[in-house]
Amino acid sequence: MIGLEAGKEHPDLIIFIHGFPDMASVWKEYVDELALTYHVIAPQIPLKQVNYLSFQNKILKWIAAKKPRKVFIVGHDLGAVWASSLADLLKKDLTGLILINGMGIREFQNRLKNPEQLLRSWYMFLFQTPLVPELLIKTFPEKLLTIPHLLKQSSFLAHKDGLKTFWQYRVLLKEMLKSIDHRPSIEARTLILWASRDAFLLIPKREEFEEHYKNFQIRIIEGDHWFHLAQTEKVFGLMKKFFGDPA
Amino acid sequence: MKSKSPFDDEALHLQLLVQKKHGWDLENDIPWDLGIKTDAFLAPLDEDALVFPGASAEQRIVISQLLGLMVNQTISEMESSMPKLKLLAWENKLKAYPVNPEMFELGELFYEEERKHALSFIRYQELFCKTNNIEPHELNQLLPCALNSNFMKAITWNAEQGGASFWWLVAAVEEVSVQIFKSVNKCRKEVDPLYYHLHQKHAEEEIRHENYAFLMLEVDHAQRKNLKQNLINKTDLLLAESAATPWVLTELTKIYRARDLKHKSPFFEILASCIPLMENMDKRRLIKNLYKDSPYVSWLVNPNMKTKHHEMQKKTGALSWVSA
Repeated sequence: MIGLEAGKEHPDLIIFIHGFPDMASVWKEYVDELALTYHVIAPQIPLKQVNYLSFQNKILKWIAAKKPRKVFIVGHDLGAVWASSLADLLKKDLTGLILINGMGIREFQNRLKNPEQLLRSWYMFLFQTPLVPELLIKTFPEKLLTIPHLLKQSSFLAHKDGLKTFWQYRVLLKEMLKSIDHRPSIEARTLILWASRDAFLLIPKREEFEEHYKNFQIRIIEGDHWFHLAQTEKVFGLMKKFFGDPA
Repeated sequence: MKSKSPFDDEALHLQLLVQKKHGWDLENDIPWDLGIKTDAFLAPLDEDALVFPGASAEQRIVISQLLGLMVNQTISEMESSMPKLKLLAWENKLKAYPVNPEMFELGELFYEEERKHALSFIRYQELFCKTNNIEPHELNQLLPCALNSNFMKAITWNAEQGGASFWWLVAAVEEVSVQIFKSVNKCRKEVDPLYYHLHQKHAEEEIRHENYAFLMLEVDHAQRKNLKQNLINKTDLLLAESAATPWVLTELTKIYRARDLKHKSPFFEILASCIPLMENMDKRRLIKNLYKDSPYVSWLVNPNMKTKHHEMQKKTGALSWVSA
């Protein structure tokens, strides 16, 4: 489960959850920098489909075993879905949550009522079809990885193994259908960082988070879907301020 | 350091600190005890005394005082109208595009400063009335009023539709306020000292926060929009200009009411005696003067005079009478 881990000697824990089609290694710069002060881990989303709840429980058990003084979770893209779900389960045991260009299941569910978001999430529906995504990923992995480049969304090229985590979209849709009546309640302080030019997700409105997040702040940063990799200094600054804030 | 981008949270934070540090207090930082010198100029005049060529020295002072009071009232009316549109034009926009908490904090401070400015100008007007034995309601008959005007209705309608005419208008008033102080500063010795201090303090804060309206226009420009909203935004500036210009010119015609008030005080009597000077003026020259060559009035009614607008207009692609 653990992709990267460093700073084991520190009592405060930060968990970085990557998005699609990234791998845990995408957080390397963050792990190295923050490990000077925190125990930092970046779990690797399994390359083969696993049960949503069992993977979530695995992380929860791991956290419980470590008995950290404070817990922070950072999620990017689909990693934000995991991060938000974990925050809902951890309740007061979570100190802070950072969502980078991503949101919880419930918020995303509401978003899909917006035709513009539906159009931007076209690939999510492609991933629901049986065998087709597997075939595409096997046959044209490089071509699929260059889609964000064609959309001018990233100068960063993900690892082709990251594509194998597409199963999350299948699980996400099922979870969305299952959790229609679920009202999450995120009690931890939440920082939402969002790119001004994200081709996949529309800019969030405050009202989208008001119902489920007790204490949140939104910051829009000039950049694309992977702005946190292009502007690490800026994001480090915001994160360190957030982690160090006693409020 | 003033931020040029609503995304630059660090610069916004610094600006917030600077504004808070240098912000003035309405009671303690304006020398109200100076009182008002009844024989001093308020708004310095050009050679034509705005549109009253050949005015005597006594008439020039009264014209200058009325113009100075009109300037105060116009700024005060604009600034008083801001809180009324706070939810529609500001809060709703930032909730739909919550760029960062600093933009919210700067906005709160901006509104607070504008409220203070409006109060300070109202207080000056009251003091002027008291010093000159004028009834405030009589003076108000000659001064601009935005409340319930078609102009404000148009701006409010636009804000209800998600438009940004309000911010174009605020940007214009901010720019003109600074020009007014520069003009007052040039003739400092002839100007009523309290009027000078008031506009100096006002200009200081205007200069510090003049970028806020432009930042809001940037936020508005960055927001996702449907076809209707795009169309509204394209014409926001055009609407602001089209609504403001007739309003300013209509409000100027209130000067004719001085004739009905001439028995009430020497101020109104001298003012009424100036009206023939304007009536004798060639109408074409009168219009040209008001649009192109009159201090204060031209700055408000002529879009060409608002230089900072042009850059933003180009950036947003907003239509303007200048480009139309």
